[in-house]
Amino acid sequence: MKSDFGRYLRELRRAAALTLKQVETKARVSNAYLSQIERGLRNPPHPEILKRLAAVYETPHADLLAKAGYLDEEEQGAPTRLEIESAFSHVINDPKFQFGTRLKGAAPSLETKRFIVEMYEKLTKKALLKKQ
Amino acid sequence: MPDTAQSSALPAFCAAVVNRHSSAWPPAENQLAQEFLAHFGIARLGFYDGLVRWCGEVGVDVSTMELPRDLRGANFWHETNMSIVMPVNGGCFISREHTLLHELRELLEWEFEHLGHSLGHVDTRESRSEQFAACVRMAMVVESSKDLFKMASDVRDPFGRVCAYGLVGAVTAVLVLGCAGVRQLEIHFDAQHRKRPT
Repeated sequence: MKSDFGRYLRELRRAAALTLKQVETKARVSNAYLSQIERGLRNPPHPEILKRLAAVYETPHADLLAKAGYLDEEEQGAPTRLEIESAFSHVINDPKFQFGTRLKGAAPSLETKRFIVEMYEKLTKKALLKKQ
Repeated sequence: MPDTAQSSALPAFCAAVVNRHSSAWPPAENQLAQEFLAHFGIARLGFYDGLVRWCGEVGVDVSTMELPRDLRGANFWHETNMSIVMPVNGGCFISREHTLLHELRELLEWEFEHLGHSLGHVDTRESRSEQFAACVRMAMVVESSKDLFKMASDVRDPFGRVCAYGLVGAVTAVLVLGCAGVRQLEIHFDAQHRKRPT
């Protein structure tokens, strides 16, 4: 559990192209502590720290809470990362539906993918994600 | 829901462009921007609020929502429905017109594809849309500066007239450069925003 969460956190940091030192400044969390979490040497941090990290990594706070074991994704009813990715893939492959985005970065975040899927559901009246 | 006459405005424009450029397809982005402005009339477009109104007139629904943090705007094309979603309050003031035009340009792309005339590879779509938006905005700025130059020419005092010309020229130049460098301005703006404590 500890090492899975650590790997996930490291992936998020690398995707955001940030160093531990930069995260320390932005999220006000010691880089030594972050390094230990990423290496699976420490338990996932407190939800309040996760909230600050979520803001820095531009990822939904709920995702970090779920990965850290604070939430059971199924019980909360929120779609999982896998469900969102799968639904997004369906949207991309629907020839009757086109979408475009203007992003701050190079690739859409999970939050953006979910937004696009929800717009698809609204416009096509098809349900891809389970309702919360 | 837009009526048929409204919603056919963009497809009609795309069909006209295909007819004119079929021998040398695709047209360059600045050409497409010029055709767009000539077809719809630059004076009708105006700036952000005018553009939003104009979108409604041609059957493009523009709505505002709380968008994910990495998203400046989005567009959706489904059957005959075209919609653009902008951030609440139009987003960053530097680039809201640019973003709206970028999204509009992508809606045109779907129409061209629908007509069997793709404007280019999907990998270059973003940069082409950026170029289109910048070209349209620069033309808008230059067009609106004409009225200001006319006002400057009406100044009776020769020294005052020169100053007025200089001022209008400088403002126009800054705005045109701003149109071309929106991406850089946004990056700078975002970096400043991130520096603030969360």
